[in-house]
Amino acid sequence: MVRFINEEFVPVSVNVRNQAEEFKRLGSRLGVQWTPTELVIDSSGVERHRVEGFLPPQDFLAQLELGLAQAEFAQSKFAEAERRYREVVTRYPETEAAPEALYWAGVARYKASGDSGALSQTANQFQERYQNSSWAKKASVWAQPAQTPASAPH
Amino acid sequence: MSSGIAWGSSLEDALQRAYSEDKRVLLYFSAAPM
Repeated sequence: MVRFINEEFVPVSVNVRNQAEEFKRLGSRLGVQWTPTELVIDSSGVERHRVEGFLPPQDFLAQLELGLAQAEFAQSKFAEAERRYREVVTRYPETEAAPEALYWAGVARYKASGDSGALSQTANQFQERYQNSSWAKKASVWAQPAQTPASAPH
Repeated sequence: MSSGIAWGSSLEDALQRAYSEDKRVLLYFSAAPM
């Protein structure tokens, strides 16, 4: 985790005990209501992802990777974003970040290609995994009805 | 949060560094003793 954070981020910590004024200033500006809270912020200062409350290491790492993907997506770097989303699904399949990442991987592929098949493929993938997640419900609108062969025998 | 992370204390400095290094800022609000 240490290496991942040091390599991928410029990390900043604000402690409510030791930096009360800074905590108040930034916390108020960014709407922080609880600790721990982690924000992934792009270099223009825009928040791209937020984690509130403690998470075990694997879940936390998955959320950070998801945040990096969201930042890429926001910059219209859809291929890079898709790669990161799929990394979340591959590396952290049991986390809550995984179904969210699977959903957005489909959106990123669609944005990159313009091919709506990317969305229907994603809906199909949700029929095989994460069926009870809210992301499966969101993707269900992309599902295409099964096609009946025109020349099916009677 | 794990020790060994190269925490900074200024968001403004971190944003400048993130821009020049094409990185993102991880801003961590905590109440734990540091």
